Amino acid sequence: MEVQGEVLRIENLRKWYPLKRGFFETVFSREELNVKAVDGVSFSLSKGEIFALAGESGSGKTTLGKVLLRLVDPSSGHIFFEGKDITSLKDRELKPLRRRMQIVFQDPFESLNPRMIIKEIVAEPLRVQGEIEVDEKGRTRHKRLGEEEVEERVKKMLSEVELVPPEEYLYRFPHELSGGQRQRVAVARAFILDPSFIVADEPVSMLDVSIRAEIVNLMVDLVRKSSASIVFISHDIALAKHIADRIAVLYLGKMMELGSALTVVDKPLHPYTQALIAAVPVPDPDSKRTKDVISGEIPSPVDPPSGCRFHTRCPYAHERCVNEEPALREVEEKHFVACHLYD
Amino acid sequence: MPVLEVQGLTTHYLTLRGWVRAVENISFNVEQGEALGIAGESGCGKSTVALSLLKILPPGGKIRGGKIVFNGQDLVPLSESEMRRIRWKGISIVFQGAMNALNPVFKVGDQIAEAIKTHEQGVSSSEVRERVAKLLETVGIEPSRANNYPHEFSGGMRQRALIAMALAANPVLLIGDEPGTALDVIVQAQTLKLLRDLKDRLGLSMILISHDLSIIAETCEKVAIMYAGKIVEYGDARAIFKNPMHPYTQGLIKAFPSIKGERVRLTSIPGQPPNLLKPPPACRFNPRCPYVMDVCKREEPLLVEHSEKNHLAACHLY
Repeated sequence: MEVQGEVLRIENLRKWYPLKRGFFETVFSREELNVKAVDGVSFSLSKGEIFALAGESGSGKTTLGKVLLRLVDPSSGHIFFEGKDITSLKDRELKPLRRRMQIVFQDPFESLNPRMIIKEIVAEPLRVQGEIEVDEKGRTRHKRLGEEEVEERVKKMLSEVELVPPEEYLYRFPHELSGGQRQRVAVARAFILDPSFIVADEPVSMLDVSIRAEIVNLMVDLVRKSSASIVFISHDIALAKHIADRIAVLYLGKMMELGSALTVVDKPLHPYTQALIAAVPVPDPDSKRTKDVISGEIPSPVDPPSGCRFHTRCPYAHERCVNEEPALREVEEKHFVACHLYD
Repeated sequence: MPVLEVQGLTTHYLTLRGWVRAVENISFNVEQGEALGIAGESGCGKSTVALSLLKILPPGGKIRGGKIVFNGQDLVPLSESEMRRIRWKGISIVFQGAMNALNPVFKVGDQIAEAIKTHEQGVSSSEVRERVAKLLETVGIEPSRANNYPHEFSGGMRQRALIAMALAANPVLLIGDEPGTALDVIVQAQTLKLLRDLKDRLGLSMILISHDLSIIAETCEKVAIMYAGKIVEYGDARAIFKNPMHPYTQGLIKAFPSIKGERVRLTSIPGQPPNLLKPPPACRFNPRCPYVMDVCKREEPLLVEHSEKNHLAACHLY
């Protein structure tokens, strides 16, 4: 069942990692322990949308990003890409779809092969996927690209990410470029096949603040131009506010709040979102903290709290919260919260 | 008299390709009970400043000029054994990613005790135990947890344990190198609150080093903005954030996405920090400055007060 303009939909997605345990534990204890990294997340992504996944460590956002692209297989639940259930597709069947799903990683120093020149890094997707041709009868055919055309396309892409003149960058190695330049190469590599869906996992958090905007704006512009959709994973909710259409706040593998970026940040409903936003420092020495910082830390995803996962730290927790997990409900128009305060 | 007075500090690193001029002619003060924030991005020299103050520069690093006057005494000419009396007892430091600095095979309490015993002679075991308990309490950790191993502590607790360790010998000045990085937002806020409390309750003087202007704004009374090894703006935190004078400071503040206010298109500073083997002539920011003039390439601007008291900027615009 496909909704028009829907690029991606996930239903009740779970990713549990089994924990290896010592010999005695395996023999004497029956209990299987799992790291419940992503534990039942659902949402859909429209064409051209910028969707931010916000959360702290242990929230599951990075794992979720990898599962969406099937870089890691889900434990349960479904992933629909362009209307097709890709949850259990074999690699061979996934490959033609993979040209339309791409990723930009966090670390510009690790995500580029240090032994490949820039031209080859950006050309690699073209070489792996080739070109799809549709003939007169409407049949698709796989075509390998000629060297000249590969180079042309690489140069065009390098210009689009503002590495100009592109000829100057083609034959360089990653270590000759700055962090910001390498991230531009990563973006070029992600966009060269004109994907419909990109996962950007903290793409700027390892860059200096004064150059982050360039990379972020570049990605947003490319996405708007091509109407690709992007899932933007970030622990920096202030950044997400300025570039995302919608924000989902994750905590211990579950979605706590989902809504438009402005609404979630300016009028957060979930106590966790409120605490998160109150904790973000502001570059203004006069701004006093309106709320006290909440105490405690994120519990272990191996043994998450019962009921509502946030109840151990929530200032409004009551009995129901300990026993019953709240469902993600639409509380205002297009604004979803998983909290008993709003039931 | 200020607790720390740095005058004209110059630290370079000797490499195969020549001297990297990491820190050049830096001067600043820290008063008693005051927190100074040193802000800047990668390669600006802020970590080098911290390492210079404690004289723990890596091989190749050398203080080539200037004075570091701590409690009236210049640290630069001191020998290693003399410095050892200053480290931890006078000035101590909490490094970036400190949570991983704890030894995994020793109990946390024992590691803090080690800091006490190393720097003070003749302290009885019971007194050490008492002090460890008190230190843990000071940083908000249950004293009974002294018997835990580091892996039984969460990341934020480990960071606090390290702060406790840094306070073990009752230093006068605490340096925090990127105290917020590698911590989640909420834990970071808790840690910064702790540092503010320590400053207020113990009269501790602090130097906080960070690329994150927001955490400096929240915790520090005085700020030094560093760029390419030099301080480009210095003075009262409020004055600098409300009315940034140097174009780099202005660009940097604007580059931070604000959690409050409207959605805006984010801005950045074009270009990249210079190569410190051969920095640009005169004002080091001139290749990236939107207001660059001829004089900026010929003559280095001095860090001086202009129209506002307690607010210095090194820029020819004024």
